[in-house]
Order: sequence, then structure tokens, then C-alpha cells
Amino acid sequence: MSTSPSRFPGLAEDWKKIFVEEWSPFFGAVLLVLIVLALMTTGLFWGVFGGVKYWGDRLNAAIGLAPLLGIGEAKEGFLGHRMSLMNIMLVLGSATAALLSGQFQPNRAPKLEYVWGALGGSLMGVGASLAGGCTTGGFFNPVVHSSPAGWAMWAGLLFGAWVGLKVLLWTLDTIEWGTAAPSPIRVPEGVKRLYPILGLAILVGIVAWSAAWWASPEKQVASRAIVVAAGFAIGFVMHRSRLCFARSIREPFMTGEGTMTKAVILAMAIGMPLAALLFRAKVIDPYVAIPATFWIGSLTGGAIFGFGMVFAGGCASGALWRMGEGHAKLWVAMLFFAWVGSIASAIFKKIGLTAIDETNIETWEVTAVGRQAFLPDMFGGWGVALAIGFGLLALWYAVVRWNETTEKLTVL
Amino acid sequence: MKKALVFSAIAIAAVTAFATAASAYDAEWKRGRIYYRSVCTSCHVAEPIGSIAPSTRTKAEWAEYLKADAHAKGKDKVSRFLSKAYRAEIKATNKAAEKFADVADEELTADVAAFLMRGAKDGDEPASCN
Ligand code: HEC
Repeated sequence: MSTSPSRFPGLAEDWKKIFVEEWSPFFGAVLLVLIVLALMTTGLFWGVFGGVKYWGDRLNAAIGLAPLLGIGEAKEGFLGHRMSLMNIMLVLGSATAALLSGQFQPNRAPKLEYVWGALGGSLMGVGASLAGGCTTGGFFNPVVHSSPAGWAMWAGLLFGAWVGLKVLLWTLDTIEWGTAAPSPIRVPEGVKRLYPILGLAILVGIVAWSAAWWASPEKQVASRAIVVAAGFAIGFVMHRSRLCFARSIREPFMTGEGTMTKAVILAMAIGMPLAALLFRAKVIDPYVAIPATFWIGSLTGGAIFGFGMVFAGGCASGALWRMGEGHAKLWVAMLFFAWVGSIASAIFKKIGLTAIDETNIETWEVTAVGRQAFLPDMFGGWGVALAIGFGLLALWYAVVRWNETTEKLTVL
Repeated sequence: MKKALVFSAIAIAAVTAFATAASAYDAEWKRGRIYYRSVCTSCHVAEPIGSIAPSTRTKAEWAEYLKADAHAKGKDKVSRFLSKAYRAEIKATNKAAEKFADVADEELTADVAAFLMRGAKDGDEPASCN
């Protein structure tokens, strides 16, 4: 920036530290869980797949498939649908962070990568439909909400990612088509110099937008202001700390490195007990973010999703922030994730797999692939519930830490 | 430095959690959901007028509907279908009516109303995002 260090010593340095240098993933994880908890205090929760599926529903409506699939007409627009809005803000937040740091870079990939993006995205769509969400709604949220559904998806994700890596390695040796890298997109230096200013402009714009909605007399619009700010902040934080659930699952199998995994474990370890306080105080109902997929849907959906995300190169939230950074492959993956996610959701519902059983008279929802499960209700209290949650986190940590030095689990 | 940041973040989260702990939500909408589905909807489907989704009306319209207490174009009353007497009548063949046989009328009415409000066209049901 043009700020002269002599006039304001330290400012340029701090700017660099905050907006240019990469953050520790642990710091990012803590900030992320803070935003998620702040959302929960307002009765909302973080979700990605709901918005992605909504995009797919709109796409299916545009190409005339919706009536065939039984997809109803959209009640809200792209910015009115809560989760669609949150996803759009996530991409914008990441793009802003990338612009400010000068890391924004429109990026083409080798042809084969687009095929993998499409294949991986499609499988993620199928998996998320079965598991009642992606790595966010099917895994992260349920774990923080003390639902065993998250852990069932976790087991599926690990298995799917492991198999996916094996297959991906095999393709590296056998498929040569489409692996040549395309010429990089050259952005003129003059444009690049404008990136930080553009980033700042978007940041100011978002703050103004959120403030305007916040002041709206209409309650629903005012509550969307929170979604605008939270989605943007999540994208910003995830980009700066390069947080990625896919990496937390995949990396120990790939390089043995466990930093991202430990960051995700930290986020959950903070989130679980604090969320428990919110539930106990009846600030938010835990069941609103627990999918009725424990355990068959979560486990099988997790496996399919895990396989797909290795090929796509990111989980749902990870794909969104990488889209914001300019990666064309992730735009392709997201397109197929949304499209197939919409189709799969509709079909699974139609054939009765994920349709809610309306004759069930328990307070939790039931489907053919599982039920809504909340550990404190299953075991009559928070003691056992938190013990199970922390026990599994400790186990995950121990295995990943052990693997960091022994590399016994890496498939490379 | 890093540690300090982490701890301050945790502290903020804890404070937020406690600060907002006072506001409450209506816990019984789930009971309302069970009753609406098993008693109201199951009859609508059998009748057969088809299920009436909460999202077909706004919150104000539902409130008005319940207040007017004129069901099926005035042929009978909504309150009748929410009453203990009605539950006793259908208890033998309806599991939800049996389960809630002894719930006070006002309570069950409030539960069903809470469910309808949540799912109303302009209601705030986060779960509908999926
Ligand atoms: C015994 C069967 C039966 C039960 C039980 C029942 N309904 Fe109905 N309901 C009907 C029928 C039949 C109609 C359609 C009347 C018409 O269109 O002529 C109807 C219509 C309605 C309508 C459309 C507007 C109107 O009044 O015509 C609403 C709303 C409604 N019911 C709400 C409820 C609620 C809430 C409950 C449960 C507390 C309930 N119903 C229980 C049979 C039932």
C-alpha cells in the first residue's frame, strides 16, 4: 500500500500480517467456530448444501427437468434463500481476502482435472443427499450439535477418501489424456495493482449492505443481514487460514501431515461444549441442524462424498472459497455438485429413501436411511454425550498424531 | 501471541453464549408437528382433500384461522379436533392421539399453533433450507 512506513510505522507491517500472510489454521478454526456459534445465538446455523441444492433446483427448473423430478417452484430468489445467500457471501468473502492479499488468480486447469471436477462434484451431490448435508451440514454441524450422525459421516468420509486416493493414484499412472497444463492466464500488472483497492471496495460495500438490511423494519430482511455478514466472514477466514474439511480428512492419508486435521479437531472441541450451553439455555433447538440420517444415510453418504471430494479437490465449503480465489476447476465441480445434488435429492425423496416418515410419533424425524439422533436425549444427559464426543476427537487426534511420525496410514 | 488470540476468542464465545442464554424458544412445536401430521393431515389425506402444508398460509393467516375456529367452511370447529374429547374418541386407532391423550387442550392448541407459525409462508423454519 502507499502508506509510508515512516509516517505511520508498523501499519504496513500489520496490514501484511493480517491481509497478506497466511494465518495459522488453528486461528482460523477458532474464528470459524466463533462465527458459527454467533449464528446459533440468533437461531440460525451454518449450512452449505441446502444452498447448493437450491442452485441445482433452479438449474433443473431452467432446463425443464424439475416437473419430472417433482421439484417445486422456488419460493425465494438467489439472495432471498438463506443458504444460497450464505454461499454467495462465502465466495465473495474469499474473493475479497484473495484480492486484498494479491493471491486472486484466475486459474485454468488441465482438461482431465475438469473431468475429475465433474465426477467428484456429482458424487458429492449424491453423498450429501444421502447424508443430509456436506462436510458442513452432515459432519461438522452434527458433531458440534452432539449428534452421532456427524460421527457416522466422519467414518464414511475417511473410508471414502482413502479409497478415492487409491483410485486417484491409480489413474495418475494409467491416464495420460488431458494432463497437459494450459497456458496460464496472464493478468496485466496494472490490474493486479488494483486488487487490494478492489478488495477494500467490496469489503466496504458488504458492510454497508449488511448494515442497510440490519436496519430494515422487516424482520426477515434484518435477519438476513446476519447471514450476509457471517457468510462473508466465513469465506474470508477460510481463505486466510486455508481451512478445508476435505484436507483434514484426506491429508493424513496423503502426506501424513495432520495440521489441518488438528485445526478441525480444535474447532469441534471448542464448539461442542459451547453449543451444549446454548442448547441447555434453549437459545436454539439442537434438532434444527441434525439430519434424519443416522446412521445408514450418514455412513454411506459420507463414503460417497469422501470419494468424490478427493477427485473434486475440495469439500463444499472448501470448493466455495477456492472458487473465490479463481479456480475454474472448482466452478465445474460446484456446478455438478449442485446439479446432481438436486437430482439425487429429488430421486431419493421420491423412492422413499430420505422422505420424512410422517406416521412416526416421536419428537425426532425418521427416514428410511436413519433418524435424527441427539446424544443427550439418547443417553439421558450431557455427561455421556460430551464424553463420547471428546473421546472420539481424542481418538482422531491420537491416530493422526501417531501417523504423522509413523506414516503407517499414508497410501502414497 | 497466537495463544493469547486463541484464548481471547474462546472467552468471547463463552460470553456470547451466556449473554444470549436468556431468550427462549418454544420447545413444543415438535409435539404440535406430531399431532398435526398424525391427526389433522392424516384425515385431510383420507378425506381426500390432500395434505395442507403449513407453508400454504402466512403467520397472520394461520393466527386468524385458529382464532376464527371455523373448520371446513364452518361445518365444525378446529378446537374440536384439538380437544381431549376428540383424542379419546380416536385414541384406539390413532397413535398420536393416544400418546397425547392427557395433554391439556390449551397446551396442545399452542403446540399446533407454534408448529404452523414455524412452517408458515413467512415463518422462520431453518430446517426448510435443506
Ligand atoms: C375428521 C377429519 C378432519 C380432521 C381431524 C381435521 N380436518 Fe381439517 N379439514 C377436513 C376437511 C374434510 C376439510 C375440507 C373441507 C372443505 O373443503 O369443504 C378440511 C379443511 C381444513 C382446512 C382448510 C380450510 C377450511 O377450513 O376449509 C384447514 C386449514 C384445516 N382443515 C385445518 C385442520 C387442523 C389444524 C386440524 C387439526 C387440529 C384439522 N384440520 C383436522 C377434515 C379434517
